[in-house]
Amino acid sequence: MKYIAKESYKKLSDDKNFYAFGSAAKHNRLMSGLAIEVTNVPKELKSHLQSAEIKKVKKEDK
Amino acid sequence: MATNFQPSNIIEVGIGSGSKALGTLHANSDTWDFLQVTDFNIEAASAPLEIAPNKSGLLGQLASQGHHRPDTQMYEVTLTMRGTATAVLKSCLALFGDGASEASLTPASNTNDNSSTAMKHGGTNVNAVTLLFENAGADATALDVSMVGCFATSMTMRQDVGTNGGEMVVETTFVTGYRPVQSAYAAPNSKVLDTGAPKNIFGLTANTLGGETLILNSWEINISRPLVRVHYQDTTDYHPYGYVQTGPYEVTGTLVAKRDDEIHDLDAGIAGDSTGIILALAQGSDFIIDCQKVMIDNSKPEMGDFMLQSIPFRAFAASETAEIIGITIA
Repeated sequence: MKYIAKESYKKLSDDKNFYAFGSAAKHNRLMSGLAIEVTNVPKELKSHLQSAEIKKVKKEDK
Repeated sequence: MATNFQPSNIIEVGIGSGSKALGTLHANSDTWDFLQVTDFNIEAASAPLEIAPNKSGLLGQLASQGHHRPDTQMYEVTLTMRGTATAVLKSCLALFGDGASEASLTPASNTNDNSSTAMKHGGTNVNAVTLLFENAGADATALDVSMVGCFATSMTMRQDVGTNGGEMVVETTFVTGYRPVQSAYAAPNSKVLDTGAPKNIFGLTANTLGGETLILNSWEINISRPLVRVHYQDTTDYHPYGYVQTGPYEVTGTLVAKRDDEIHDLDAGIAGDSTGIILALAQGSDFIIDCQKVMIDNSKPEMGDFMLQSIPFRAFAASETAEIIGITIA
């Protein structure tokens, strides 16, 4: 799934952000406001990320 | 007379990772992955010899003409590994700084120090790894060889129906400007043995190029970059000041597929229309290689019992922030 950073992610120290999970690249993209694709989100980071998937809009009946 | 000797088959190769000052040995309390290495070479502290010009009239070389140049040395090791998720992701970490699936290479990727624009000696860096060769030391007591401050310069993934039972092979080249050290390295506190199953070409479920489904005989993808050391700090250890990447990441590869109607439908790309097309190789959701802008590079038919088409290609990014290649692996 695609994720972007919440404001709280940007305040995490390097031993708690994506650096600590072996991905400087993902950290840099998140800090630039870009979306990342993550197969398994580390549970420690779940609350600091939000989905960037495009939501399907349900067609309303007229 | 020394009585010790070195059986090569008892050497185990580990990769130490985690944030560390560049040039520092990963501690035995750091993360140590012991991969399924099937072949490797090994380095030892060494120096090339340069010879100054000969004086006219002399037909022999004088000792004063010889100059060792440890300041220029880049030590290079290539590991051949069974194609597990850990082998792929550790390689991606040291090559382009993304060790978590989906490992994503973009034009902005790098292996710089944390929040920095350089790879500098002593800088905190999460991408550099330490290679440990247990039982590779020549000394009877200095049993191990370690190489600190290693980055990858090349990584090749390949699968072939005709070799290794179809298993994926990952071949990664690591380099360092720091001298390899022989010592009795205290064993890592916890060795993370890589017990993952290698990906297999017979497990691929959907392989498309430009929307055409290919029946693959083999494929390989290489990601590479040039990396050089920066000078030397002193004449004791000849540590570099750091590293510089002197060119872009290049992603190239070759698909060898059954020559059939789908190949015919790729005619425009094969003939050359300078248009990027999508390459997608997938083993369910466990292993996906995704290149959004691939251009075919001089594809030719191949003769055999049945005809094949060799499709060399190069992958590009659609924009400065777009992905060149994404590797999803679990």
